[in-house]
Amino acid sequence: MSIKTIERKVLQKNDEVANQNRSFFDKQGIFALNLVSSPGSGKTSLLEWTLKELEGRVKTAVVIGDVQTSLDAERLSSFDLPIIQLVTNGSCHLEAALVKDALADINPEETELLFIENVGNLVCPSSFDLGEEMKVVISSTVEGDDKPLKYPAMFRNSKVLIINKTDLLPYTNCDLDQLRTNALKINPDLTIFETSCVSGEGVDDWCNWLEKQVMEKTWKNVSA
Amino acid sequence: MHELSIAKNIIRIAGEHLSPDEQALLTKIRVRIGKFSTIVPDLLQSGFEAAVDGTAMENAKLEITVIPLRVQCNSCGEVSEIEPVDFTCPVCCSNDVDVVEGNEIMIENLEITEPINH
Repeated sequence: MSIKTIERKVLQKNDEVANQNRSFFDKQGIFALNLVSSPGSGKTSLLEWTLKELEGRVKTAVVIGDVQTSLDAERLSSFDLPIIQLVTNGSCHLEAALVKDALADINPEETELLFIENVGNLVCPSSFDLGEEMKVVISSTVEGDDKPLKYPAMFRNSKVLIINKTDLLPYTNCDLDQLRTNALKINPDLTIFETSCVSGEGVDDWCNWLEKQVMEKTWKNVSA
Repeated sequence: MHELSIAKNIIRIAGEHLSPDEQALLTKIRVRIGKFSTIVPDLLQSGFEAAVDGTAMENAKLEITVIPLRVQCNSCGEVSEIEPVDFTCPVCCSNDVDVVEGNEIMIENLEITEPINH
């Protein structure tokens, strides 16, 4: 019997491609976000509001991952910006190589902000680095206040939490303070926003913060 | 449910490290899976069995060691094992902690039987 020592990350290949994506974003001064959430928490609705709010302010592109259909890309097609739909054909998460292929379809000169909307799933996407600057996790009030405790890896690995569907709060058992407490227990460094994609409330705070991040990234790129 | 995709990656990596002769003699693949890695060991095991079936390495078993979640406190410096529901240092109650172990999805080694010489 012989033993062959390997000591290698199983996802090393994905990590290598993610690092190539990251270098591309850094070189081009693109602020890339990986939007993660469970299905139906409002990622695409939030994108619609965000794109509307940032129109004329930030040059944006969107990559959308879904298991099937291009329905999300069609929803966003009225915006005059690159919308690239990725269909994973059954896979429950986006991988770095898929995103790398999609990057061929964006013009880096015309892109300051890139949204990567992941497949709706609070488990698997947390293991796959795409090369993004940060993960943004969206949790809607109708999902209750215990999601951070049930899916800690996703909340721990994200930098931003957006609590969406605040307009539905009166119709749910969700305790907003409890949701915040639970999220901060898992990750005390989370920046938290609250939004409604019916009234648009809170979208401006989120977009102002985003614009500032994009400016800092662009500035870092210019000064380098 | 990304365990199948992880299992396929494990089989690919093992294949890259073995000659065709060695692949047929592979008996064990040892992996370390962190408790905070979002991988369910049982699902990885059944994913592996499904994915390895019919390949040159189909006699190989997967041996999974689960690594607990450990954090190091940036206030008191202690390393403690915690449950992933509260990222607080159990020694001094600070929440300024870094995960030092428990995220890994690592392939450790491959065990190969010696060829039988006739």
